[in-house]
Amino acid sequence: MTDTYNYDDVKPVQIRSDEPELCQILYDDEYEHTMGILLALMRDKEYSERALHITEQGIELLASHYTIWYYRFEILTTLNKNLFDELDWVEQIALENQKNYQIWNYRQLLVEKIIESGADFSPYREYPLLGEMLEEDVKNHHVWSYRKWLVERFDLFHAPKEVSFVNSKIDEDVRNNSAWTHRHFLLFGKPSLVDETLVNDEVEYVKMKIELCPQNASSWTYLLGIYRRAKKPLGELHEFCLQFANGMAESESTADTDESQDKAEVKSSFALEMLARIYVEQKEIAKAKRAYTLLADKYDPIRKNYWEYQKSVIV
Amino acid sequence: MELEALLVDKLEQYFRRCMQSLPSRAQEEDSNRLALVYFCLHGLEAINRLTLTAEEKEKHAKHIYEHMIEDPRGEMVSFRPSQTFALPLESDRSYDLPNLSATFFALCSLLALGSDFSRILDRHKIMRFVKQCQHRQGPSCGAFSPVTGLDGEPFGGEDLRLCYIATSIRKMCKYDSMTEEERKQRDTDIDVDSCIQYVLRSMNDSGGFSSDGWTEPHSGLTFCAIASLKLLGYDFSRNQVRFESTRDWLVHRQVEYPETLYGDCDYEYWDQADEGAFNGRENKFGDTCYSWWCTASLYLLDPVYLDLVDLSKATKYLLSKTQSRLLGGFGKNGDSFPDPLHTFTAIFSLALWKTSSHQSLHFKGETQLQPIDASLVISKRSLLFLTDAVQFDS
Repeated sequence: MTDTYNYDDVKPVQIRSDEPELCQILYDDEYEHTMGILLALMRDKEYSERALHITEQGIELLASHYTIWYYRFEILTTLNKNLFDELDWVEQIALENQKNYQIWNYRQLLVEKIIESGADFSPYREYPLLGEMLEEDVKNHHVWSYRKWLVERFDLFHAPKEVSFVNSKIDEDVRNNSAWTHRHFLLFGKPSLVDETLVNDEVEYVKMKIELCPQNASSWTYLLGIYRRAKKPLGELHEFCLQFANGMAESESTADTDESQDKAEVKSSFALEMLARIYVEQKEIAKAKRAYTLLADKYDPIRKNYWEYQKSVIV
Repeated sequence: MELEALLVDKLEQYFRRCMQSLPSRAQEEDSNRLALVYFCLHGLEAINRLTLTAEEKEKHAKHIYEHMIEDPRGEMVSFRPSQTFALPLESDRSYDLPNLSATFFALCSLLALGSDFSRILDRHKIMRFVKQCQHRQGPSCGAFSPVTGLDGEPFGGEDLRLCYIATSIRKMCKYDSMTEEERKQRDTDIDVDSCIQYVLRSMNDSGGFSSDGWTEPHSGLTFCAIASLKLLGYDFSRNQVRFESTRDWLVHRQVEYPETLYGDCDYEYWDQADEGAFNGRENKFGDTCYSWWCTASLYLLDPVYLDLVDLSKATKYLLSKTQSRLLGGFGKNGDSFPDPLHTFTAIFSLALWKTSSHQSLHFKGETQLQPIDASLVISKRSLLFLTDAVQFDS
């Protein structure tokens, strides 16, 4: 593994303790050797090609150790290495180890340094890597957070490429909450770009997606998010919600009884919850109670206590 | 509902095995070594099985103090995560970077071992290090990084986890009970206001917390946010409507898939077997550790919120789905091997529900569960030790 560089003159620092320790890890030889050399070079503050190489070995074994990343960055700076090459290297490491989240912060650091140096940097350079990472795990939190950072850093709000990317992710999986969250930021994160047309278009878009799959927390959250931001009255959604909760508008007199429950035909607990909110706002107390009862008894019984509580605080 | 037993003997054996030695595949956790120690010690305390002799306690405490790092100028004290990273004495040790998380895990572990660290550590030097990790400007102003570099500047991604860790250390250094005047005079305290502002900025529209308010909310980060605010003495009623949305978001993290709405549950991130579990984000699998992050957050917002979720089903999920009957301990889900983090969070969840909820939960082994403190995430006994025995002279 380390044969491309010569470390014969380096005496590895001993990492194995002679005394028994709490939670002692039985290190294998490779780990002991690599860490031993890494520590010896760090102790000597050696900033060299072979030091750079050993940080790679170290990161492959222990990506969560910040000191190695820090040392690596110091070596790069001292040797005045090309930071674009380093971005390529990070890419390899990212693809090899999906769970390695330290790389994203490191990558941000590199990008900032590149910009600082006056070099051109196109955010679109990042797209193939991000695409490939999401192929592996379409809900990778770190990858989406990095993507969010790119949008902010390079002012990609409403950028056609980014919008079509997020459209495609929602088309692939309408329940992908990460994609919906990203869409929310992309379209509403810059207030100066938000107007009535956008709000109306997005309400139509998300309604269409809800019709496709009514029992989906992500799309309902998106809808509610738009309403909250735009300070629109939830009452507007009454008709829309009713199509997923048939029978809810009727039989007010029999509210909160078993008989009325049988008539309701609910396709989405989220529609029912939204209706309950609307009825509370509109002081339609019997209807609100009925919606909560349906949630507690039939459509979302795991939250029975919560729905009963909501019912009890209606005034 | 008939619940399975909590296998206390097996759990004890599991933690004891981990404390003794871990196989080489645990190497990738070497940077979390002190966290593993913390999980084992407090896990054992929570099931009333931390039965160490005075001699053993002293020996273990001594081992933890060996992780201590003093900066060359003698101004700061911190800990390293594992003795692997200790550079030889008498050499240039600049690359032995002080680590914020390790400092937290060391202090918590010392409490479990009944070691009064006020006799050994200068709390102001610890706090000077914590302060050094805090960002003083820019978009992350108020947040903390995991380490400081050779130039003393914060290095590494900041997030709510590190806010939680910083505020917990501050609590263990008893800075919360110092007078305003004294804190100002010393100039070693963190900037509490900017920390609170950072946490509040991280609240998403939906009520959950995320890395910066616009990314996807996450149960684990939500716990860190709520617990940080709690430790800093923030009054949630100041922002009642928003924290009610946090409560609602957390309550919705418990999963169940009634057939009438979900049919045969045909989505790759849904699993009928997760009934009663909590998830970290919308449309994701349940996981043992989220039982803790979600319910502890609810409890910290208001203890009565614990009764808004179904703890009977939650208990059933842990005891019969993720507990390993063979090895002892708890895994991430029904298909995983047990590990210290998930075992610890399962026990702490059960201990919290058992002692703080009004729901009737009965299972064999329940009487062994001890009261715990939900904000520092240590046993109540350790908290008492901190309050009563640990007394800083200055």
